[in-house]
Amino acid sequence: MWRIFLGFTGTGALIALLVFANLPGYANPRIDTVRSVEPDGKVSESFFFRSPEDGIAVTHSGRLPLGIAPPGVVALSDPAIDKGFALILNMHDANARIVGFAVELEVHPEGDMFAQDLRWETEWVLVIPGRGMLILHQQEHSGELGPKVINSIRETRSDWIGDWTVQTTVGPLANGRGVIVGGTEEFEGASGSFIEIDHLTRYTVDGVMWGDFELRVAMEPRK
Amino acid sequence: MRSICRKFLPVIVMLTATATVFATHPASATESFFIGLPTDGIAMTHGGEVALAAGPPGIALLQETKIRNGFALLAKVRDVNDVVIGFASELETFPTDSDMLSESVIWDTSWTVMIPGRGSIYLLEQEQSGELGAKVIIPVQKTGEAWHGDWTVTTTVGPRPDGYGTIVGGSGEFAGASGKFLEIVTLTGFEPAGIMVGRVELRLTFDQAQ
Repeated sequence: MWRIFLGFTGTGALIALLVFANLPGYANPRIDTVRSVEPDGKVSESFFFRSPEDGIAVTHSGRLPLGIAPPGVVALSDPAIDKGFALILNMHDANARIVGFAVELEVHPEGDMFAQDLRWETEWVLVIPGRGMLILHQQEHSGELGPKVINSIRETRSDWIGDWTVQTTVGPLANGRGVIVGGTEEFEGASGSFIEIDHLTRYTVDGVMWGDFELRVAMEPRK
Repeated sequence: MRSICRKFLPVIVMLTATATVFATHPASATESFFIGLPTDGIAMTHGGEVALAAGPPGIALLQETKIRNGFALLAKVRDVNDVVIGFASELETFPTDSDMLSESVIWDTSWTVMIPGRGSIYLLEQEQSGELGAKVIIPVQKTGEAWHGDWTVTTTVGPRPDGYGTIVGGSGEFAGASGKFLEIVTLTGFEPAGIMVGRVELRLTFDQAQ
């Protein structure tokens, strides 16, 4: 009798796992090795964050379809900085352990980034205590964010729910990757490239983004 | 006459400061950026054990074990004419098992300065707590009364052998930039709630005209 019970329980658990694994937001997009050393000495490592859980503070002019948080954070409303965007957040390793914190700073171009495919400059600084600081520079583009997500929210006035993974990095390297600028301690003199990969599962009417985000860094061998 | 002097004193002080900046730094190779305390602060967080107030109230603290010694600041950036021209982040990690107030502790700091229309600049430095604890914070904590004064200190002590921080690079107008910089803090007040009053200057000296 207990074997039948165990059999049914086990089968039920497997079915539940399969169902959840295929639901938007439950599938784990982190399928790649997190830190690996290639035969040529190149080191690949990924850092992750989740939205909105890992967000500490986010600000911009107030004109982006994204909330400014927490309440009381100053908006970038001065004319000289009203195209700016700034985010402070926690950083995870692939095992969902907090290993550091970071800032993302952006300056957006003129124009409607949700009506056109616009490019802008983004700076990342990661602080990984015990390892050092890592500075990254990239160009990102709005791509399909407008047509696929934001415009539907504006039209329907309801949340967007889906499962969309996109590489936002488009430069400045000729191969479409961002660059490692340098760092301290373990990252002192680091060089190489990286990409930012965004996995969106929900975007609410009041501007809260849900999803997993990855900075996939490829460091060149030390000379 | 006295009232006229009082009225124009801030202007005179500002012009004097401006003149000082230009007099000591040839325009082609150096530039200073300023942050008013606390007026230009956007958001600030840390592990909760720093003597400064995190803000705005309710902001998440860096309380996870791994990041408890961290510090993050977002702030507006002004030019020498006191005009907002950009924004910046300052990230720090303090050494473990050290008391920044009773000891002179050295730690790593990263600045990223974003100047829309011009580009971004990345700066790395080592800072030192020096006399901040003994001179300002500890007396305030003991008495519960605000400190008022006029104390200017260069917090940068490295990593360059000459005690300067390093301009790591940049984008836009600052692409390929190199050189050195100092962080100079002028404190005029410190409130028991952990609020600093004063100004931060990032004084950059580029290796070549940008």
